[in-house]
Amino acid sequence: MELLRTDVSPWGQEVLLGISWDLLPVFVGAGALLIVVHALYKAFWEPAVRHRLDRPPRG
Amino acid sequence: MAASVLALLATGFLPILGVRFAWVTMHWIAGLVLSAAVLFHIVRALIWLEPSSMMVWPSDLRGAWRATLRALGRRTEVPRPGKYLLLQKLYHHAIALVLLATIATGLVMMVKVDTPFWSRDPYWLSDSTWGVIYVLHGLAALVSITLIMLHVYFAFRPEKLWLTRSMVLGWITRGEYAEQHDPARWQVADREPAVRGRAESGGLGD
Repeated sequence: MELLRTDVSPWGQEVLLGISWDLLPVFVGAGALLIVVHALYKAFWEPAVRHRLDRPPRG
Repeated sequence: MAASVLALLATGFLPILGVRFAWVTMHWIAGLVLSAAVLFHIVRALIWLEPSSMMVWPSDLRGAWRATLRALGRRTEVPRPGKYLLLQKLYHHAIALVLLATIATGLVMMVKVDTPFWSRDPYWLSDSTWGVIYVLHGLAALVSITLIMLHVYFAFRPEKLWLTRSMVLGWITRGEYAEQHDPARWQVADREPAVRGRAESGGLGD
């Protein structure tokens, strides 16, 4: 996967054109991954921790 | 501001995804609207709101540490925040950095666009400098997609709907203020317009 888009100028020099749009799915995927992880945390982890903390401490 | 950001994302990324339309004029006009909205927000926040409420203080870090310990199952009291949570402050600073980067680079890129006010000049900067400008503009736009996805997700979470309402309408109830915030860290006057009394929340009359 390319990080940058480049081209060759008429004088044979490599010219930077911008960021590679191949990265678009990476940033969308990162957002989706964070959302799924947080949703799973809220659905499963947080209720379990809250249930444990709501019980009176032993001893 | 939100409408202009969505317009910018649509006019910026739909052509990349293969949707063909005359996007350039729409894009720079939406960019100017966003620039004006951000400028208005900066002036309003610095003069009429409390800029210090958006700064990260050591107490924010201590509260976040305790919240992390509690999330891991440790019995500890988590202090209520002042006006904003640490994560809200960090999100604000991240999206501010990203939007300011897109605005700054976008305004420079307008030199290469014909407008009613000037004719395009593609030779204003060297090719390598234009390349850096385009990389920064594109990178900031890509990061903004991730941030906006998170923003929309949290806006629709059931436990955050009161925050979404406060973003749209500009107020919370006295009950929400007392339950979610530390009055010692966010002091409001009885007639503070951002905090409204509601009978059902046991608060004061508006």
